[in-house]
Amino acid sequence: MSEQSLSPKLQVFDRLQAEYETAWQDQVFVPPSFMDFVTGMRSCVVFGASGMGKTILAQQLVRYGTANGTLRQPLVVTWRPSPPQQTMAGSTAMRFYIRQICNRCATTLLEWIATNPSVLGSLSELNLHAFASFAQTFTGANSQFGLGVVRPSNPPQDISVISKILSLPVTSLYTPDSTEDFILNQLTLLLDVFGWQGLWLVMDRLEPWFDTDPSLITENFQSIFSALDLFEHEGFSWKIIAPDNLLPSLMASGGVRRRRVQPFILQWQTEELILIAERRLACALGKSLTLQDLYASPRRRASKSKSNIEVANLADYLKQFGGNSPRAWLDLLRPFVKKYLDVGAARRLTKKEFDAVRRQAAPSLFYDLDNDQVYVGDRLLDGLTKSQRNILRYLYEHRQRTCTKSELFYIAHMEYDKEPRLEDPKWELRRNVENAIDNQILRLRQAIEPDPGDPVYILTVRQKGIWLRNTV
Amino acid sequence: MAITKESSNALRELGFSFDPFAILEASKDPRLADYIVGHESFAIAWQQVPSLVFARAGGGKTTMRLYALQTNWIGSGGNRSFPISYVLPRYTRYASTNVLQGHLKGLLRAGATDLLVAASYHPELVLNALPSLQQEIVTFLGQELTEFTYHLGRLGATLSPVKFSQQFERAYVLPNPPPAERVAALCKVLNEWKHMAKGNQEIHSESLQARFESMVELLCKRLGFVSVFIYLDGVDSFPETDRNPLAAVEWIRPLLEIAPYWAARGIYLKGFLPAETEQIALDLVPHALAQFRRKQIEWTRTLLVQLLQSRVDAATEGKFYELAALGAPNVRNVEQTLVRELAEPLLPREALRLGQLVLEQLEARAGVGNLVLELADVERACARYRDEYAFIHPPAPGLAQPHLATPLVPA
Repeated sequence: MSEQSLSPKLQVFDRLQAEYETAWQDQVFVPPSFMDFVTGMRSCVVFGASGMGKTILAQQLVRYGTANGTLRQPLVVTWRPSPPQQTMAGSTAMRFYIRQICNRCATTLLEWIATNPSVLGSLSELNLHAFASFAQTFTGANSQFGLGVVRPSNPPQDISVISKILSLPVTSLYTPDSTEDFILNQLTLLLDVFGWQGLWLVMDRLEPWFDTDPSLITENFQSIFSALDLFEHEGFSWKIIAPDNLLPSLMASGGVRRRRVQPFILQWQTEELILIAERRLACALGKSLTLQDLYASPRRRASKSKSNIEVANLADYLKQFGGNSPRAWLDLLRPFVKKYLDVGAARRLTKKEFDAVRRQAAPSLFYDLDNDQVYVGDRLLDGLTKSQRNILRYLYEHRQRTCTKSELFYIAHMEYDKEPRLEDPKWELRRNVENAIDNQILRLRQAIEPDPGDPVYILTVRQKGIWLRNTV
Repeated sequence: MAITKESSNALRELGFSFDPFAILEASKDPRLADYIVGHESFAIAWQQVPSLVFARAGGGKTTMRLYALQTNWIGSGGNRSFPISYVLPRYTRYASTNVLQGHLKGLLRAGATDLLVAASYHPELVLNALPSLQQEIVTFLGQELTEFTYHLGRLGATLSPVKFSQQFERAYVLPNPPPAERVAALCKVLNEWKHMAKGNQEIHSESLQARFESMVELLCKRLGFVSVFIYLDGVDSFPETDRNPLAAVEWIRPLLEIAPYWAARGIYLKGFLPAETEQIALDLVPHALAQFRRKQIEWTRTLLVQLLQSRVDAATEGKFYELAALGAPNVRNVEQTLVRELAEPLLPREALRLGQLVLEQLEARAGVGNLVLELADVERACARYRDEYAFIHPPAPGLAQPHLATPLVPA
């Protein structure tokens, strides 16, 4: 829905993906109500649906952990797990991922030391050897090839420090039999030696995993979360940002049930969504602006009006079609911001302008035929009767053309295989057919349309029938 | 709660020298011994008998194990048993084959670790020993601890048994650690004998069973301990055994079966096991179980109130022991109110979580509002707890599913 913006001011509404918003993220970020709870040393898992702000939260956690003014800071390690190469379960899966995590921790520590080489000089021989043993073991590196594990953007003098660590002759502390408990103990000990408060392992972007084998992924994660020992190391804190697909399996895991890991759900109240929208507006426009300043609905008209539905104000419109999703709200808001800029950014939009934008940029209607669910924008439509749902489904399945009221009545509403002929006992008078369908269409419009008197989805085509538009 | 300057200052202002409810896991809590309650009834944990203590998750098993461990070193005068903390995830991996061999290997490693830790707190064990015994100790440690040199180096670097023992388990802290110069003397002696440690080739020539028996002989016949206690814990800490008590029992079955044989030789297995394993163990190995004394840890609301108050007392260094001391005049019996929220079975971890939530209400106002505990704070904490609990323990399918409301934030 959001095309690449030509206006720099609209850039903040363009991608709506946290990965591309680092330049203004701090200005627009609204912390969820539980932010204080997750920014400590306790492990937590935050579940959220797509578009709820998981990645921006993960990124803000990373920023918070590295510059939050606490007495001591945690080392923040970001980890995006790679899927297992083969079917693994239980402790085998757990060990596989712990080694990945240790690889990330070793790499992060090496990168940090590369930018703080004086730290090495203050280490005792024991600690230097301990760190070298950890780094060599978990980067699988030697002095010749290990440099590839660190970002190539390091200046040359940093590489020599890393090379020194990776080539230091040490007897490894770690054997194939080393337990994860021992490994994590040594890691937290090293962090303490370096002056870190502990470690935050921030994990995000698990959605692509579900494209491969969802059951394998949930099983693997349940294995990690059921290895209680992983959550019992003082100074090692898991910050997992997870898609809500993982919620049932992780909630059943020992780690959550036994309070090793505190669960949260990323969800937003309307007031918070309004704040999210208004912060983004302020960032885009360079001035503080409320949604009311952008557009405020006129007073309800007198009963003589043909339309007896009150025109929604902007927040209501965003709520109706964006549901509780920040991304959906911002996506819906963008065309109104564009219009506001087009008319000079000095006054509210008029009702006519608002309605025009609403019609032009109506969020798409999607009917999930497999699950029999209807979405208008990001809002899941519920409360439809069986007949309304059948009619809507039929219209959706034939959305490339206008459907006659007759076929809607007989096939969708009455659920006949085909339209009966005149002599068929199922045949009804035309006015009965049209009255029945008109009634159902009216109720569907009331459920779906922002303004039932001025529909954008369920359109009447004179002399022909009904056409469902703005679909995906 | 984030440990910000504001919140740590808030706790200090309130009279706390530390957060009494910060740590829910016993193994992480170095102050556990300061506020343990309900321990009087668990004498079987330090009697010369094989014993099993059963409790639900969060019900105090690890606390009891740690208490037994510390009591062993504090009490008993000269008739002391040597405790080995066989915490399964620390020393072994889950296995469904060659199970006893795996356990013996883990026990040797655990025994060596605990001997080194014991020596750090009681250097006289080594310093007062004859040279031949010193050599035997070092040989044993070198054989069974592949990281012996490293651990010795770490002990030598800190000269602090507390810091040393906390590497293995943060809650493993004994009182009255020796002065640094004694620890230094210990390290010197151990280093001097280190070169005498046998090589790996010689280890492999002895069976695990033989090595285990050698360890027991060293501890009992030469170091003078009256017996060996094997404190078994963490059986449900693996993916395979979490929520699978049958797998858990099958895994430790060889230990349960050998326990009577060991008991005749002064080796007493003391398990701290999930409550769900008791009946399964009784069904699977009834003859072995008959040799154990068994106890279930069960909590009353009175005990949980004591638990909360003992923590407040310790954290305020005796200034006060009730959270109501932080409150407005109409705030009373806070611990009782919190404990009333708990569903059966009553668990200390759940009570501590409620305590956390109450303090978090106050800390959220740190720097911006008053720090007097209000009734509304307690009510909010309880509401949040109810939401959380219902979310973590949802009703059966078909019933209305709970919704995790966002936590209420004080105005």
